[in-house]
Amino acid sequence: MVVFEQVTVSFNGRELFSPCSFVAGDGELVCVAGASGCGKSSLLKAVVGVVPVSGGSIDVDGVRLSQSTVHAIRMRTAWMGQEQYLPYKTVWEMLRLPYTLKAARGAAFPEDDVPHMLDALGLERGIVDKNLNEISGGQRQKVNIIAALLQNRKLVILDEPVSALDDVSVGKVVSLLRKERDKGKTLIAASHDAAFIGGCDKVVVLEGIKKVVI
Amino acid sequence: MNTVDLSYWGLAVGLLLMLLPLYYLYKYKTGLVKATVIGTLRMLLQLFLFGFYMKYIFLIDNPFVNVLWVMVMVAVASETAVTRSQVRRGALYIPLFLGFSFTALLIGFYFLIFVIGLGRDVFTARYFIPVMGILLGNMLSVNVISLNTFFSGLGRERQLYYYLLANGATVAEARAPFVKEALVKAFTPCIANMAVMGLVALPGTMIGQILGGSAPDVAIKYQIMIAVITFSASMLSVMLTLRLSSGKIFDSWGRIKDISK
Repeated sequence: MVVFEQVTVSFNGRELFSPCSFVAGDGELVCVAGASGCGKSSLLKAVVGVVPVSGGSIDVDGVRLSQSTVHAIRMRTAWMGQEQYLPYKTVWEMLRLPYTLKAARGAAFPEDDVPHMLDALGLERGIVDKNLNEISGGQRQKVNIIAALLQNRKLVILDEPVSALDDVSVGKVVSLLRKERDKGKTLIAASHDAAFIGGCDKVVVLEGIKKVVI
Repeated sequence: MNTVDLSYWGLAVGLLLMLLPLYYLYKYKTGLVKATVIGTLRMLLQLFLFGFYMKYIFLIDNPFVNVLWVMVMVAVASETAVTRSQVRRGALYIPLFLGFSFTALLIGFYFLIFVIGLGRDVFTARYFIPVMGILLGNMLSVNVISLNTFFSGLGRERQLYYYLLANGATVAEARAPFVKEALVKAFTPCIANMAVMGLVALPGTMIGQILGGSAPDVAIKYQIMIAVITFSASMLSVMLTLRLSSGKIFDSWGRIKDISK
């Protein structure tokens, strides 16, 4: 569970949105929506401490985000960034990359889940042997989603997971994320895609100085 | 066997060879003619001055003066490395100074004491200053390449850095791909040089020793050791500089600070 309490994020001294409060509970798929540049990505990045919070607080499973707790929070989070392109790695290496970190020490890479997830998002199984620069932007985006989900972490944050996907693929992504949600995970995604927003349990819309919860 | 001295006329004749690269730099409008002329004149002036005051430093041969001179070389090397980097002086100067000092003294003393076998004569100007000088010269060039590669990579692919950090990597893990890139870029030429030493490349230090009267087999042994100590020192100084500058590059959350010029 992630609790946002009066959270503000600034850029160049200007607050991107008004103080934002909401809860992303266990077993929930939450979408942070809003116009381009309204601060959706910044809000998500604030959860893992990549962007500083200028006001308010963020609690992750009861732990207040701070300089001393941010590393522990990151170790419990699977993150998918908006720009994520490693041209020198194959799809397989990209999927395994988080498991090369000390944070995943002792955890076995869930190799058996890979084919199911590839099938679920309409990717051919042979794609794992291709370099990331040989596949399309949409395929890379799906690979990044799978890489995040394969980490089996309780909190999953996805920044614009469907920006390069068609409506059919968006539906597949929503379906897969719901399955993860049903396992009790907390999933928070930033998106302005109407089909994706419609598939979420909760939507938080950032509108400059106004916050609306649907 | 005494070294054959070069007359000033001989030097002037030799310098005429610079007209060849200057011609091509001019022909292809590289914009480097002025820099090459200035660089050559600076080299002449600096080396003549070096020869002038080195004569007295060698004559005095005082350990305190010799160490002080080496620290002056470290300060100049650090300033030169910072000037050639894309990073603000405040972020890099102290780490470079400390990295260069510690490495030069550690590796230099190891070589002088355990390899050459100098005991109390370790601070003798004839050995101490040239060894430290050659270490610093190599460390400077390798550090400039590796630091520039590291910082440009971190700036260009910060999304990779933040991806690793956000997924639970420590700062050391998240910056590892950039350290790797920096080491590969900086040390590939060093490794290639070592591989052809004696076949294609005859190092200047070895030639200088032979011209100065050393037997070739003695010069070769020194050259082998110089290749080893400069490689080791370059690596150690790069790793130290990166480690010591970490606090200037990353904040307490692991976020990259803006330290570009």
